[in-house]
Amino acid sequence: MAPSLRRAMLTVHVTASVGWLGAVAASLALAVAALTSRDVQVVRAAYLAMDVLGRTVLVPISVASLLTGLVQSLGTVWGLVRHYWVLFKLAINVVATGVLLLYTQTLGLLADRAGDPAVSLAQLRSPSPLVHAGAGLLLLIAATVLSVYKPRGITIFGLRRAAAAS
Amino acid sequence: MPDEDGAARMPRWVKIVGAVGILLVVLLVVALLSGHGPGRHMGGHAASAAVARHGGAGWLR
Repeated sequence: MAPSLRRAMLTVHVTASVGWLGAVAASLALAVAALTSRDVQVVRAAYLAMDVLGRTVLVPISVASLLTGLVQSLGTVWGLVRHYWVLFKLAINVVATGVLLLYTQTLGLLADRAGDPAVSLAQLRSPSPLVHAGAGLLLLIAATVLSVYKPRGITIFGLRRAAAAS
Repeated sequence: MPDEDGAARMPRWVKIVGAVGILLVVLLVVALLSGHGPGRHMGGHAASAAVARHGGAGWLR
């Protein structure tokens, strides 16, 4: 990959990944508000906002992060399965994106209930978004740490490739 | 040759993170198989009706 293209792809990847982290942090704040606020309008608004945030921000940027990460690893010397830290980042990204895509359905259901005036405050509250956003935040922080520190360790595929090249 | 042996050995951090990762994936699979999948967090008719409305692709609305 040409250096200018590599830098452009890296910029998109970092932007999408950092944006994903921020959007998950925002979801966590909304989940806490939905669980703790005594104002029913705040609770309803939090579930409605989490649904919108999930569909319009989290899903597109998580997919963008995954795709640009794949391009970045396959188009550079790092490779996709040569280094353990890249492999773990890929696993984190795939798992987090998969769970997110499945979880948008639950967010839609919670938003529907939040928009129904017949549903009471007690029926509205659910710890599920807090658990999912918290776990997602931990996973994305772990991925960020791996990106920055790039801990040593070459996989068996990386060793074979290095042996074949020498 | 110590260098090659060192390169071939799996680092300790990989073993630890790998074990934690496998544990998390097993927990995730157990949770999904035991009915904690999408839309299972709400009970009652409202949830059933909403599932019927959304189908399997709520994120595409």
